[in-house]
Amino acid sequence: MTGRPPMLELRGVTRTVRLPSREDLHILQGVDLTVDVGEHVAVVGRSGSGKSTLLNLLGLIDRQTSGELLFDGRETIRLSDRRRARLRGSSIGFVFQQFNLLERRTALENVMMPLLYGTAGQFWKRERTALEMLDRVGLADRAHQTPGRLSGGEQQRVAVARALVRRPRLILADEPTGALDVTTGEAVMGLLDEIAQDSEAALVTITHDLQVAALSQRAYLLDSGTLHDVDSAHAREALLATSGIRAGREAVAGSGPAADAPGRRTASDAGARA
Amino acid sequence: MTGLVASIVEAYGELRVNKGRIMLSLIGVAFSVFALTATLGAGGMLSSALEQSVETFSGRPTVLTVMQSEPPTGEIHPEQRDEVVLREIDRLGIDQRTRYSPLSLRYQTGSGVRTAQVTAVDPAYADMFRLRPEQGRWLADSDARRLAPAVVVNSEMWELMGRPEVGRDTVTLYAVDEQTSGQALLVGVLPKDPANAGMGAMAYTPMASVQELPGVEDTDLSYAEYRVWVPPEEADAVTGRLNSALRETDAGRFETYSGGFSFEDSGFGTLRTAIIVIAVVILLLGALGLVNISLVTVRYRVREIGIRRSYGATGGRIFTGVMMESVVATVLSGAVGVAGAVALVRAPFTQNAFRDMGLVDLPPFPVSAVLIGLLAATAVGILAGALPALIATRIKVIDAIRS
Ligand SMILES: Nc1ncnc2c1ncn2[C@@H]1O[C@H](COP(=O)(O)OP(=O)(O)OP(=O)(O)O)[C@@H](O)[C@H]1O
Ligand SMILES: [Mg+2]
Repeated sequence: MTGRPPMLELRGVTRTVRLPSREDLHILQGVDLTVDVGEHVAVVGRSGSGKSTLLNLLGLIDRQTSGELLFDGRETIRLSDRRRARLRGSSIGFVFQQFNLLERRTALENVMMPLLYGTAGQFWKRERTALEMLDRVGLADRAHQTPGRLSGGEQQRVAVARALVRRPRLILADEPTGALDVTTGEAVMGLLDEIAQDSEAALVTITHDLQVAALSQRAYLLDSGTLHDVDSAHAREALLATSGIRAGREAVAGSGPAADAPGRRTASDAGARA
Repeated sequence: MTGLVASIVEAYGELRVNKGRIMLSLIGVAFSVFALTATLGAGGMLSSALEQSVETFSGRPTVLTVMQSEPPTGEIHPEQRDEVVLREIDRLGIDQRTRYSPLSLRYQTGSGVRTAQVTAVDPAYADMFRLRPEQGRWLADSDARRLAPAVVVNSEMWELMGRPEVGRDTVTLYAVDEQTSGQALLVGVLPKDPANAGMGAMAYTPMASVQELPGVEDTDLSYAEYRVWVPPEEADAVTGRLNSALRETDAGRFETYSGGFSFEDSGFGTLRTAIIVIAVVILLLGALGLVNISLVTVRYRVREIGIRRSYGATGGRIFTGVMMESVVATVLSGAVGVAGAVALVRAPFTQNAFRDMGLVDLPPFPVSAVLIGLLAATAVGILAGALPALIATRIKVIDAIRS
């Protein structure tokens, strides 16, 4: 281990929101998590458990109530909004469940968008860079289509291209397959995983889907405001209680050849598995 | 620098995508700027028109009037008196000067004989009072040598006389008592002038041949006025010098005062202010409409702005972007408005309307009106963009992307 700090480190992070009824809702109650360069981490949890809240903290979109959140070893809570925005733009890429593409903008314009906020070099070369990225997700021929004319899977691939166009070191995906059918979802997930791997970016995926979680090197269950390893006894119990599925890493691994080579599969493999 | 270019690229993209929604407010802005520029432009030209009319009536701003205030102690022939006064005027090196003698004569119309105001002047009078005949020519020095005195009449008189041929026909003039008559040669007809409308028949004749007119005696010429036209900065000095030089002469006492009509003191200044106030109100209404639509647009775009922010757009960039959209849009529509205003004011029928108002020297479309129009459009863009831009920066990214 070198002296270099991990890219992202959370120590006892909590997030409390004040409800309109003046009660406090403790969504996160002490999350510890470390994500290093190139790592693929999955977070599963039932709806309302605070997964998106956690992801917003990781993406510097929100601020924790207490605890430490370090990016490259530096505490982020005191960074100005402007510094956070710049850091977000240069180091983090988002993929959302609802794709969140800009309406009535072509796929190309959507992928170019993050480059508008980049360096001068990125700005001036935005079209070429974006086209290369679209080619990478296999949509070079759909570059001038607007989202309305693309299928869900294609839209999410555009979103993947957009998330990766500035070569972020951290990709945050909030239920990236949630709005897609199983086959398409797996294909997109495989692609995301693969591109993240190629560009040596860390990938944090939030998902309901244990199959998706199985693609990553580490998987956590978010339950009652804290993270638990999916292999832990607590996680097994919680998953069994809420969804009635066999839980744990072995259970997940049993459904496909995922366990020994996580994150190494291609989109076609993922599709074939379904 | 790249940030600014990127903002403009972004703003342009937004405008292109939202053109339908924005178009409506832009029509409002274009119309407001059109109204503002047209009012200011036409107002400016109208002011010039009125100024010209007023000058036809009372002379250019620094035309001084030299008037007899006390009669001479002894007898003096009008020609000698003129000599005394003109010598002093000439001594000051003023070459734009005229004698001025109002007379009354009668003339023949289709329905009997009527009275006309005839003014005997020197040829320089036309320049000083901006008179330019629409037919024939103005009086010349050579007219004094004619057998029949020359006359230039106003269009009303020409109509009443039955439109005699200019430069060829002689007209018969009668003394007020209609005991004597004489012929005069019609050399020119002046255009209609709103400032003189309703003044009835008017004619000008050379002072040099005034004695040839029927019934004009020395006694008719015993009262004297002169007009001199001087550069504005010399007006006070000339007034002072003429006052002292003509205090006591063989021809009596003469006083000089600036008889020119000061445009600024007149009601036209108020008219101009009123026009500007109306235009600004129109523009503010346009701005209000734009603010309203921009606000709706920003609310509609909360999600999109959230997405942009999650991809690294800073609050400043969002502010500039929204502001830039507003400014780019209003400047473009402002340019359309200005072009429309210039086209309208320069259109043939408008120009004819100006001519009908007696505008002789048609002024060009005022550049200041164009500049003010474009400036106003930019200002409206900034004004209308500020609030939505501020609101846009307040949008919380988390709320925006929560689906
Ligand atoms: N700003 C807020 N104000 C009030 N309640 C909030 C706020 N943010 C989150 N919550 C609540 O906190 C809980 C966790 O929200 P979060 O969106 O993180 O859940 P999630 O795990 O992403 O759920 P899902 O799987 O349905 O997306 C929810 O009950 C939500 O209603
Ligand atoms: Mg969520």
